[in-house]
Amino acid sequence: MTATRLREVDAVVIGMGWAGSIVARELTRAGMEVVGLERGGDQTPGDNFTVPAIRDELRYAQRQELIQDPAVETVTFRNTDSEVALPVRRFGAFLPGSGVGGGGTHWAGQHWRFLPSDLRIRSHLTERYGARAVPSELTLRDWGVSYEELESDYDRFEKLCGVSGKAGNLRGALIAGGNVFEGARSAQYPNAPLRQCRAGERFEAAASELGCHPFPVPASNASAAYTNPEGLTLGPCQYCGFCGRYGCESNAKASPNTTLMPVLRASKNFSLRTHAFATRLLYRQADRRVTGVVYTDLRTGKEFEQPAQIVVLAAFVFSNTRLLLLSGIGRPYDARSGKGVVGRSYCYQNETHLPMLFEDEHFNPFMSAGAMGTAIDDFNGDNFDHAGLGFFGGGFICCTNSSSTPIGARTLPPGTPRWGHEWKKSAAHWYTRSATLIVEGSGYPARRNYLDLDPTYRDRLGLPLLRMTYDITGNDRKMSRYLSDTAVRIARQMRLTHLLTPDYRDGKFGVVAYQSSHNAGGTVMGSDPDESAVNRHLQSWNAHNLFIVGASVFPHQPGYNPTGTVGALAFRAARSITRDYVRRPDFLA
Amino acid sequence: MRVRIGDALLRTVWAVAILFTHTASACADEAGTPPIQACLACHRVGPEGPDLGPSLVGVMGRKAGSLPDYRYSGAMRRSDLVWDAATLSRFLIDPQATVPGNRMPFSGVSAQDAQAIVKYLESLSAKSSP
Repeated sequence: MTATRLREVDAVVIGMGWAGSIVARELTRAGMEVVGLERGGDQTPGDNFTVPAIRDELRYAQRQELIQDPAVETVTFRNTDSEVALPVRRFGAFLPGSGVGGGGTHWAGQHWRFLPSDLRIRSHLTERYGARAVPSELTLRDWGVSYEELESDYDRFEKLCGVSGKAGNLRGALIAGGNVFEGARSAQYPNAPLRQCRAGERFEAAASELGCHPFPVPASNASAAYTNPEGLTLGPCQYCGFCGRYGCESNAKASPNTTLMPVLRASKNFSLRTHAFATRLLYRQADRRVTGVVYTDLRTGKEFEQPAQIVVLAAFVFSNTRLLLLSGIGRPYDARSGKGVVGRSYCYQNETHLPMLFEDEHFNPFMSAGAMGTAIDDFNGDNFDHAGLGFFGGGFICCTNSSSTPIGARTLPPGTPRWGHEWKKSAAHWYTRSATLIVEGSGYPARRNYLDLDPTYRDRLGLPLLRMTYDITGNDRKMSRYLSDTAVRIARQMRLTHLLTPDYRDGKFGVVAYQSSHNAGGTVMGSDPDESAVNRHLQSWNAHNLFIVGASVFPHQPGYNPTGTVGALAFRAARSITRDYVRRPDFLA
Repeated sequence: MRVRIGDALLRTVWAVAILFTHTASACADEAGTPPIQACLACHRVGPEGPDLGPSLVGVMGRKAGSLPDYRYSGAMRRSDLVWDAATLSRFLIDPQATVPGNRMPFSGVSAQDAQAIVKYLESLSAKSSP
């Protein structure tokens, strides 16, 4: 069956999550005609996120209604080259999104910037610790873009989302009570911080006693009604407790659906095609161009070719990498030789959780916002001296009320029976007395962690699945233990009754238990075409009219949630296209 | 369902709302935000706009829970309220006490804000009546 060839448009964008919807909006704003392809269905707050249906933990958190359907497409997984990878048949460790809004519908809203030193990590570590300090195991590289270059894009994305927070570094002036470790920001957050939860108060006191610098977690949950620069209004967060893994019932959580899609849908220049599963980019290697995208309408099985002057690949880490491999664009990474670029530097966020119980407290954890929390950044990135520690990296540590819904939230003291009367009694007693510390640890790239095409398993359309070969590096294990032990010290200072064991990352990485949805790498950005798939404008080194946006371009995973930087890079890529590329359609310097 | 923002009236409303926010948000202070903004996240006040909540076009004088194209809670449909300055104010200050079991996910506003919102909605219906 041959694909039906459609009329050529100025740009086709693959993926309608944060990355794709931002780029689509910026391109239509510049007058370009844009087609948006989304493999999932359409979703709007009015049709999909209303009460009472949305407050259904079984449906959304346990049965994962908003999560990618592994029966259509999944990844295969193994720890090392010597094993045979098997398909992930139920997403567990990480939860990729699907449908219009993508992961941006069901994220919790932690909205961070990376540290200036994160973006020039190799240079920074070399300058501070010497050229031989970075272990050969790690393939850390600079990003090719500086924090200063990205600042206005961070600011734009925060204003789009109405982020609630408190600046700690306003144009170089440090402000107590904000994050004093952050890079200089040009403006205060658009909204004041969310209310602090009781557990956050205790964390703040304990962290301060230990000499740390606590501050409110920056949240894309609006603390007050807010109209963004698109003219779209977010409501004040109601602290309902159904946030991460759910759509927002009161339009307070920023998502592509609330902050961008109404404007895009109204634009004459934009058409949205849902259930459109992109299967390959049409690549003319001799011309160093792509000419369009082939996709299958999952409802009919019909194949279409959408020709376009510009192709923007803006899907999740796995899909971005897989589409390049399926299309033969860029040299696939080979772990043995360390050569090749597509699939290189796959990284995973090393997030650990430390459950705590307090006999003397009532935290009321059912009242929460997704990103409501108090954090310290004293042990993130290179904010602390790594000399003699034997590892690099770090993460923020925060205390949050997030996700204390009744099925999932069951923190009980060691020795409690697993069922029966005693279990019930204990569950009822401790529910409101429990809180959690989260360590958002970094993930640094290593030569042996990568993505490629699986030789055996295929998706619903018969195309090879993406294969993950990943295990936690020695560096990251040490980092994770150090950070988790630091969290334990803070927990003790909070004077808790029972301290449960943190989920130390000592064993092999596994894909069953939830850890973090923050995957990174595979089509990384950089300044060397032999080690990166895209340049500092997120333009492919192999096809000048192909731009790749999303966490797949992160050369490593810093110790923060990725979305703030995904959005900022999307604004940057869009600006490179509309300001520079359309005037001179060639490789940008 | 499509949400379009082409409408001139709504644009004016939003322009005014944006003007208010911009003068007020320089220091992330919510004091200057017009109270109606909290409503506009979910309700429309013109032919197009958000559809999480029922439309507020013509709400003054309307029987509560009576729009045919909105899926209300049973509590709201059975409430026998007609929206006027008094009932709306009461509802806005404490939605759950006024219509127990209604599904509006909003905890309410101060008496002062309720008054401002009612006044705004009254001015809308004054404008739209012939």
